[in-house]
Amino acid sequence: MVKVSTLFHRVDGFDELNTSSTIPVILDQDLGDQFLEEILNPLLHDPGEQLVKTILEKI
Amino acid sequence: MVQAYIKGDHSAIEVLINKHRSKVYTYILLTIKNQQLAEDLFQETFIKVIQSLRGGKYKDNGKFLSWVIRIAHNLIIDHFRKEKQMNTLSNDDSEVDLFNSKKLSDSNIEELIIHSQIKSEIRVLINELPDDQKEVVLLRHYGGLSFKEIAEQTDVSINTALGRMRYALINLRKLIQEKNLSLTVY
Repeated sequence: MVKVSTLFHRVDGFDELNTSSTIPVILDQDLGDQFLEEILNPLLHDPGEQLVKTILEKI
Repeated sequence: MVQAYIKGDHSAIEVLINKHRSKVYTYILLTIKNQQLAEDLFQETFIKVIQSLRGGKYKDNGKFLSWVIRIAHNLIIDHFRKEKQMNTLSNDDSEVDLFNSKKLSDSNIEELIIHSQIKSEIRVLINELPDDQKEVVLLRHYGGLSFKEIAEQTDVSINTALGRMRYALINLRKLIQEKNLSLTVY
């Protein structure tokens, strides 16, 4: 019986030394952004028009 | 709109400020946790924005909000540096009432209370994050900064910025679980 080791089997196009693959990071970012929207959107606070008017008066 | 202002349409700046005022103000407020100071820094931010636009210092790349948030971020850092020098660090002495939102004026009282509880709980969550993680979260969400821009702004590598965001998300999820929070009204 011939044993085939998979330990050093190389998948075409896969470079284990290159850790800069962006695909998982992009997926994580999308999920993260969605989660942050859920958490942070309720905290959005409008300072009101008056503050803007004050700025415009100053310039 | 930015181009319109640069080309001399003075009314365009009011439109621009109004478009972004909530995100910029909330970013400052959540970072600085003091309403009066947040209002001052909000004004300073947009005065600087206007001066920079007039001085031709803005390159329009479609990322106006990110640029404004970066200016706000720098002013906040300047503020903390000055405060540290004066040795009067007191950024938590005037908690803001985030619940008094005009958006809720038509809601019934029960809904208002639930909204208030949710906001209060979320605010606690955000404030429990370590400062470096909170910074990345707020820059990303309110400023829409890319991780490259966050890295530049906070003077760290992209991997560090990404790592901080990852830990922030893990921590937030953990805190939500620990506190058994529900982040929706119904």
